[in-house]
Amino acid sequence: MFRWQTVLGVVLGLLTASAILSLTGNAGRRKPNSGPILSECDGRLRELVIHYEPTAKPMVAEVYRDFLGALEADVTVYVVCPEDTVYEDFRSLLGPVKCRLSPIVAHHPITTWSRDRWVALAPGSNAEPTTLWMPRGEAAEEIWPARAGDERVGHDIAATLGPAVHPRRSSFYFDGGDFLADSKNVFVVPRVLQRNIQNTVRSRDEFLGTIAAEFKRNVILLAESPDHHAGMFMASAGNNIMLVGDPIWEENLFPSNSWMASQPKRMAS
Amino acid sequence: MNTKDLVTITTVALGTATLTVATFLGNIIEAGNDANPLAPTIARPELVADGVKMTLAASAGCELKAGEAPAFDLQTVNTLDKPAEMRVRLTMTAVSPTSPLSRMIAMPVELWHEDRTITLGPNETKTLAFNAATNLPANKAFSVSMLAIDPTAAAEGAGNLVAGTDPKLRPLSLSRLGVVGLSFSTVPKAATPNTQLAQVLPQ
Repeated sequence: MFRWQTVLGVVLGLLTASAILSLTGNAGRRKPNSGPILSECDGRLRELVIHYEPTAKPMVAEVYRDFLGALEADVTVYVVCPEDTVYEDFRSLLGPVKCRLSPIVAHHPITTWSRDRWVALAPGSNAEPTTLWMPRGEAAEEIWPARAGDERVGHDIAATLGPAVHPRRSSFYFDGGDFLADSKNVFVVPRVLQRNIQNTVRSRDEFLGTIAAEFKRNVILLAESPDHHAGMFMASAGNNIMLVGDPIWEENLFPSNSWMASQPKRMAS
Repeated sequence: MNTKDLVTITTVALGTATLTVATFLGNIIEAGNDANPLAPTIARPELVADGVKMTLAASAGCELKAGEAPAFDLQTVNTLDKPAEMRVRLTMTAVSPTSPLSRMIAMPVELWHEDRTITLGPNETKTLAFNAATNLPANKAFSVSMLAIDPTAAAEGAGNLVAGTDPKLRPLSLSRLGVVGLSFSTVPKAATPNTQLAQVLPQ
């Protein structure tokens, strides 16, 4: 028979443990509520993430100088780099800029492509973090160390930016650029369905339902599109206006003997 | 209650709390990481059309390696209590290892496709053999997809679904997207992307 002191001690211990676990459990277990996918054409830029990887320097240096040099002082740019020294190299190539730059050092290989690593979902409320919805895996990661590193970038960003950002792994395969959103809709290119149907999801309806629930927008799955990321051929301009690139139209704009008419077509309508 | 009682109560309480927290805290912390288990991918993709289920596999004895012509078995199962007839297209595409500076994987190129009309009795199961009339190139990743097509559509030539259009420029259409039933590769497992790039460029 237990002594009353022992019984009381056990009760107090369990109560204490419950209090501790409920506090840590709230921080660890609860999935933050996420809001809709960020629109690409509404509001002003406040924060953005770019990657810098030295082998891509010839390709990106001028672009980054032009783009970052045009940003205002109230914009924060997080620069994901594989190592600290790479960030120093980035700063030296950039020159003076008005925007705020902040490094996120991954300590593993990455590629220079930031757009496709995750999709930003707005906070569910003022108290919630931004969610980085990451693909299940990266194409070719099994043979490409930098792309395998890309798969971890969402966590690297969250580790640096702390409770303001929450990484969440999707069950779907996708690139971030496969989606294009405005304030009401999200357009989805066909190859996302192709990558997932009878792979991660059994039916088109299941796929669309999950996308709609995740993005909290009207989902428009394009029946046909160039086999590219959405932003390569369309851009949302707000007010239900979508700009669509169609090289076939150039035939009507330029004489047949012009230089433009002589250039090879890059995309079929 | 004396001092001895207090010591006993405190000791037991601390021990109980420590054991309880240690037992359950690990699970809670792990739940906050990227450790929420994802649903497994579908091991045997299937295409279902008009009551017929189809799955795809490499034919027995076919090793799917560079230099050899692949062969596939399409298993069809009529789930209906009445005869079924349908037309299916198998398409094999290939994609090269991606350039390290490329944003996305290279556009797949169609290597082979074949249309076949399938006739099944009520609840019949039948396996059809397809022999791709093309040797597998080295250093490529392949996908073989199944697509149910309109039985009344005119037959198309091999290798180019839209006559006169460079397959590389052809838009991706949901109506022509099949279910990928089989994926395999002739890329050496130990190779690095840069090594593969040196071997396959220019495309």
